[in-house]
Amino acid sequence: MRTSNAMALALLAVSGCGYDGDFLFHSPTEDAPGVIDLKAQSGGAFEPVELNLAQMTDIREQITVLANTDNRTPAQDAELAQLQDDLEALQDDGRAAVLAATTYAEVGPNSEPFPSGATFEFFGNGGDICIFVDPELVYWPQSVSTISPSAQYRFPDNVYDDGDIDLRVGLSVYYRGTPGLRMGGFEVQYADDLGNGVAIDLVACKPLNDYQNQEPHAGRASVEYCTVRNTQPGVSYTAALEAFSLPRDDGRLAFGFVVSNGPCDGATDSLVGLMAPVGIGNTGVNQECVITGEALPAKAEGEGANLYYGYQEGRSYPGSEDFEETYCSGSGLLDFCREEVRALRDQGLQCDYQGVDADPTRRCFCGDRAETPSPGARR
Amino acid sequence: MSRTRAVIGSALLALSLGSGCHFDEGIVVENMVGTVVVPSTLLERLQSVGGVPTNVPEPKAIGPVYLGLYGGTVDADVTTSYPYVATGPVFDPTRTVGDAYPYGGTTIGQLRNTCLAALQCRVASNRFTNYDELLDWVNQYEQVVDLNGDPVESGEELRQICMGQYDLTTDAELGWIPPDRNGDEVVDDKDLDFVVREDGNYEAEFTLWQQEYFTSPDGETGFTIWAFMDTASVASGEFGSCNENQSFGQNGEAYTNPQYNTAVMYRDVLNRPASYIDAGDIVTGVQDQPGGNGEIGYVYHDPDDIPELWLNFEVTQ
Repeated sequence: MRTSNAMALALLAVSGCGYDGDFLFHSPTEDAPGVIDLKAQSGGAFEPVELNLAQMTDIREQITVLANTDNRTPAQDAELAQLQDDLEALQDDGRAAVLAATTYAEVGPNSEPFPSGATFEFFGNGGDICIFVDPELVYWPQSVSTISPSAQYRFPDNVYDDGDIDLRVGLSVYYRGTPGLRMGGFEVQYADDLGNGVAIDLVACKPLNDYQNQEPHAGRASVEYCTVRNTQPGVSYTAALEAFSLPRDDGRLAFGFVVSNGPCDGATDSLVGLMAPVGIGNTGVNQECVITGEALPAKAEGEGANLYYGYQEGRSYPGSEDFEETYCSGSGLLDFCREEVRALRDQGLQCDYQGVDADPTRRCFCGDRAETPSPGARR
Repeated sequence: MSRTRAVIGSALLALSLGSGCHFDEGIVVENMVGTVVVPSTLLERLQSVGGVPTNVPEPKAIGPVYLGLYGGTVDADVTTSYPYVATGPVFDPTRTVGDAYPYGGTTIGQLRNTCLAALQCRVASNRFTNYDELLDWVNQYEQVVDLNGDPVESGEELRQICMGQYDLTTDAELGWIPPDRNGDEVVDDKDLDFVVREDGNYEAEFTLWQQEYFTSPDGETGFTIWAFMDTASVASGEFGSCNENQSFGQNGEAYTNPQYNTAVMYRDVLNRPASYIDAGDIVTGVQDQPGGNGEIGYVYHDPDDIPELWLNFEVTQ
């Protein structure tokens, strides 16, 4: 009898199981939509910002010729100096133009088993167009080597404030998502000779690595960019910024992006190359400073979602831009983190993944040193 | 007693549940087998000594054969100057022939374990019965030298160098010389991938391991198997399907050499065969040999079909 009861109970327990996996998905956030279709400030497609890269290249060539001229005349010296000033001015203008043309936005959980993300449209103009996106904030793997640690990265990163965006761009006619509702790709169906469907990926640009042009995606908090070559004049393109992961501290992923004429990289006069003088050369590190100020605090309730056109000082979390600049400079990160810990301790405050003393308006950017893993494999 | 009843009851319940379980995924996956034939008349032209073609057919001249399963095929001069596979649209501005989207495939003969620079892209597996033959073959094109630049004097020396370099201990691991496949206690021509038949043509067996079978939506027609043989360049002895800029890996470890890449087959060789087919290669043409079906390649109608695929069309341009 006891056995029968046990079996009946087991059967009841199994038959009563309802499972829809709801608990795996973050609840939607009212003011941070899961999928957004972004419009330019004018209300339509985004216009690529002009960086005058060709002009810079032209001046750079003239500088090279003059600099390599033996026995320059005073007039040539003056011309060389003028050209260098012109180049510097163009670079300054370009950097300012990038900041002015950057759009800042934010996405939140989708509440469905589909990725969050954003889309926007731009039109081809016959030339190369660069799309550059920077999700909050910066990330580095902690250096734990006991033999030759990298001083810059000896302190852990606060991994809870970082999200990840994957970038793909293609002709809008091939985009299979629904802007504002569901993210999608650029695959179209081709029926082979046998009559079976084959998905062909007609993406026009995606980040590529050096290994047989496979498609990689930058990791947490890292920038992604790609150049659409020889865009078709007047034809609509869609950029899909798919949120691969949202920051764990608040489930909201803020990011900045810019669309510019000319290549993203591969030349000195490119979007990334233009920013190189800011930091330590054209590296993955200082690419983080092409766009700064993307760590946007949530707006007050009822104020709607974060969407800003152009950079504005003081809009992002206090200290976040100093943090980005320190990271891009290639040194001083260890001192920055030590100082952050010291300042908090002096104020009797504690930092956790939700903010400083659970105050969501303040953030600490370095991680908890107590979480430093032991180097080497564990047995 | 009640305990016994409970045990029996549980066993019966398990039995009834187990016996009732049947889930048919509707997926046909089989090891599909067949043969590839290279006519001796074509092979005669491939054999060369010192870059000069001779009329002596030998299996050494048979390069790696790539077999792919495709949606269909097209006649010569439709997509390429030779019979080819049906391709999708060309959307990459750097290409003139679209992707073939194969359903699967395999090779007969591999490019592997290059351990000295002269061997790079020149040796397909199971074409030689011993290392001396292999050494002589490569020496036709380039003197095989060791890492110090000294000539390799014998097949045994070559064997030792290569095994030492890759920490291998058996010929099977090195993969160039076949085992005694027919069990006659000697490794000879009958153990190679391609074995001469009574009619003088060369035949090799292939297996498409665990291949999923695909048909047209009405289920009437299956995919088509089509193949090509990459013939070694008469001048250099190198195979065009070999990527000399890459090294192969094994067990997650890339085998590299400080002086050169060990080279591997291009990874898209089945999807874009035309990229690697050039003059002198042999492809599957119309199967008009005795018993042939008159089609280009072999169209499956059943996953248990055992095709005999002839490589019978020499690419001339």
